[in-house]
Amino acid sequence: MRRSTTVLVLVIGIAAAAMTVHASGKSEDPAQFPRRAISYVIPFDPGGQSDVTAQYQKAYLEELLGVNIVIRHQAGAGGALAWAKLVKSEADGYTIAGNNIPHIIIQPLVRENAGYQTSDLKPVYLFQTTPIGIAVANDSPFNTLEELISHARSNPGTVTVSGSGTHSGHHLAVLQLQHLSGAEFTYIPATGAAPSVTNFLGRHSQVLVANSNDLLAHITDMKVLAIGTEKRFAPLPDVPTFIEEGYEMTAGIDRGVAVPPDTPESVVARLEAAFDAVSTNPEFRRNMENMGFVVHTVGSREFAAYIARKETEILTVLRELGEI
Amino acid sequence: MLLNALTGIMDPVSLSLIIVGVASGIIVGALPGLTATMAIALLVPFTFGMSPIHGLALLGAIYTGAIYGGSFSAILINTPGTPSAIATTFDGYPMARKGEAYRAIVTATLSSVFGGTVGVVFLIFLAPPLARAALTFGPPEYFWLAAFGLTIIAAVSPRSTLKGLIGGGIGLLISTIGIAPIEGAVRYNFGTIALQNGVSLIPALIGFFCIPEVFRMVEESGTTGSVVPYKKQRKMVTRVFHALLRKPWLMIRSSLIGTFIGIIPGAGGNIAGLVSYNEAIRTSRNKEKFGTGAMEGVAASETANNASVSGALIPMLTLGIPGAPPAAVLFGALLLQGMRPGMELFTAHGSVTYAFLFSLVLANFAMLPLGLLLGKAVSSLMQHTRVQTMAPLIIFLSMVGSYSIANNIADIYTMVVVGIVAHALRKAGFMPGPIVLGLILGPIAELGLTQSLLMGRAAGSMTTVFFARPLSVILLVLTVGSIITPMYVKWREHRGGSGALKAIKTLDRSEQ
Amino acid sequence: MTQKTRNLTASLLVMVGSIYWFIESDGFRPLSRIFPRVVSAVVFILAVILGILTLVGKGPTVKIAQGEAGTRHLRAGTLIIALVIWTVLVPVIGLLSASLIGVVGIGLLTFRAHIGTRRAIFIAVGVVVAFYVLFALVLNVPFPRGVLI
Repeated sequence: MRRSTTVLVLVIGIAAAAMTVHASGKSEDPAQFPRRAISYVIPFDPGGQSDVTAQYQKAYLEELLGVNIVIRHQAGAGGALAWAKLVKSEADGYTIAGNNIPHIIIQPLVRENAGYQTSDLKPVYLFQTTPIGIAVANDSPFNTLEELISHARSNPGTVTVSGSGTHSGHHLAVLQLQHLSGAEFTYIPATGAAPSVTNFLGRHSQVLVANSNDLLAHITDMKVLAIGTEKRFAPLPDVPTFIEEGYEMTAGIDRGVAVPPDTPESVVARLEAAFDAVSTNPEFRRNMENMGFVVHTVGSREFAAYIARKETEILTVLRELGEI
Repeated sequence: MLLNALTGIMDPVSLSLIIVGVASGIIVGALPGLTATMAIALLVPFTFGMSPIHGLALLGAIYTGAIYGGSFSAILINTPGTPSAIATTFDGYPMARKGEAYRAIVTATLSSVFGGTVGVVFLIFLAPPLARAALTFGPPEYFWLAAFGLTIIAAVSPRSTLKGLIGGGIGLLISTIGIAPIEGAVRYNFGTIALQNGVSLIPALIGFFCIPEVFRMVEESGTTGSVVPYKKQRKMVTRVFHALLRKPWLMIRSSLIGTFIGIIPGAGGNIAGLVSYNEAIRTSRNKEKFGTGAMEGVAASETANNASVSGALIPMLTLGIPGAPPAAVLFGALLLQGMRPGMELFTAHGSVTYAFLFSLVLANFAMLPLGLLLGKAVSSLMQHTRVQTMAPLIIFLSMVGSYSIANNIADIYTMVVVGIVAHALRKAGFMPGPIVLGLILGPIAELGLTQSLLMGRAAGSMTTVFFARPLSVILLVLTVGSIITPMYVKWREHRGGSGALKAIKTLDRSEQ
Repeated sequence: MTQKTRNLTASLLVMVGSIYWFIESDGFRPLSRIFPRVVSAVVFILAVILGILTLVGKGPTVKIAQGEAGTRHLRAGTLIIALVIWTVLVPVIGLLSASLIGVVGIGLLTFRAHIGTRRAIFIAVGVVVAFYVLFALVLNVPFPRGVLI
């Protein structure tokens, strides 16, 4: 009895020592980044746009950075859960998270405590946008955005619009449209892009506000009346932009990556370079565009400036609409 | 093209992947705390390098096996291995306690194979029209479906309906913690960020069912220390087979329920098993046997949950809208392989898609021998496992399972807290079934309700939205029927007296 | 605790809880308020019914599996404490270390006289390590680490 207890204690002791050694490989030299696997956190459930993009990027990134990229999903609170965790993570570049505009701007503004501030997430690279478009059923009486708007104006609240999430890119697009046109819609949020499309396809709402890839996927079942890009959207060349239709607004969800606030510049630069190489890769671009994504090559500084611009824009809209 | 698909799946690599997939799926499913969704999600990155057929066949096999595997621990230690096996515990565990563990596992196996195969048949031949039909499910229908689901509370609280209702209510209230479905307000989070997203469902389910079992193991100091007795009997498979053959309506109905509930986005194996179980009770001539170890209960639950596997894939493959969380993960895998849901899956990518569907058929068939083999192995393993090993392992696996979903340590906390509370509730007479029903159905009910209210407001009439839609009416009738039937039966029994009771029972138009 | 006391405590706690839920919803916007309000109102009424029925003597009775009464409560209480300690230790010394300690602890708690506890615990430890390796190294799950892993 004595002997086996001693053995047990010894084993545990050795194990503890080994584990301490293993765990303490943490204080590392940023110039040597990266030396081990990087966690790429997706703040949403698997199967979504952020997830698919990350999965596509993974192979290229692994080659460029020479380490494993492990994709993790931390869905919850519209992404806030993952971002709140990110700002508390080690600022060593081994944890990066997908970054979504306008989510990271709106959430801290409308929630008492989202767990993070927009400025806490250090932007690294902006690589993708899904423009948001507005569509109606094929047999709908509306053929242009103007027809829809004037009907909505004379019948306030009777036109139902399906979209994904409250205080999301879709919701914001609807709010901006209402603000600029004076029309009043009834926005019916769903808990994700797929359910919102289902609601529309099942004719439980008359209008759909959706990401470009969803619009393209179901293009034969709908008429897209307008799209939120600045210039015409290549995969949908016959669809006018909101601007062309007379409404000074763009709508889309931009996706990039971010790191915790105090991450060293050299680490950020290394990540930025890697993502840049991926975004300029023709094969990657082709795959993305085939799915309806718009690829960007926006580096860290430009990204931060873009976020600041968007923040002012959104703040104004939300204030004027009384949302905050 | 179909021939291509057939040959595509018949090569040794694919077949071995299917076998490996089903076997690992069963094992993962059997381990309490580890779920099917998690297993698939963790393995998707590995399939990136595989050919589409291989990757999808493997994942599909795991999905099939895991949903079935959950029945093992449900039967042997009253702990559903995956949420889809919740309803299997109701009669599976009592059967085990009566010494009929092997019979229960054989029932679960045959039922799962049957249900799964029926589901795949629907998937192969009727996917597009069924998916389109699923679209007619709108917010009001979801609300009534949730309401119907809540009426199951009566069935799963045999001891005290009042406490069951309170439990269900508690579950509903807990489900309101977090971000409101509409208007995005953060509710009931007691000021913490941790509860900003509410109580995570799967960790809570794991806590609800696994931890109280550990308490039981710790408390029962008088017993021998090993888990449930397990006697293998000869010719059990043939006997169970014949028993099930004598209940065609049970099997067919359960398969249909499973397939259709799987098709409905947002409702998956767990709800399928519960609804099927409830329907089995409702249409049964002797309802009292349920809950004490009736094999029909196990059959109903397991048939339905495996049928829901294919059900969930139907809208996912045709419309890109997953019918249940594991299907959502498979969706991601599909996209990774460059295949997009929609008609082109069945045309341009037809050979791969149909090969995948055939692989599901093969996976279901593989479940029979593998399930029986593993069932024997797992049962005898558990037979010889001491409580001292089992109890801490259940806790560890529950922690691992809860954590692996979102890599969030708060999920471990949730699991433990819920587990301890569940134990206290059980002691007070509040069984986990109703509470869990409330937790699962709460968000569906509330979202459906609030979305429908918005629709009603826009349409100017609430009644049209809630009561005038054909599908809603059907669900409404089912809901009302589900509430009234048990009350009506009780009333008739009271009035009848023993002699008339027999006459009444023969008049009873039930299907078994 | 008798069944009656349990029922009454439960009834009271649920009443308090549902009142809290109802009042909290005051600050919500209308659509976010309706569901919690209706449900908490119904639950409150049901809890009141439970309380009344219990007082009148017609309350629901439940047979709970019995072990030896005295040690039962002691063991359950110790288990709660052990679970809490285990959970709290996870972020402090890492999942693996905390679990090893927890496994040994709970294994000892489920002690049965004359039955090979030591061997059972060794087996549990082995399985824990095996699963940890599988998940952490093969499946790349980033388990919580603390001072140790």
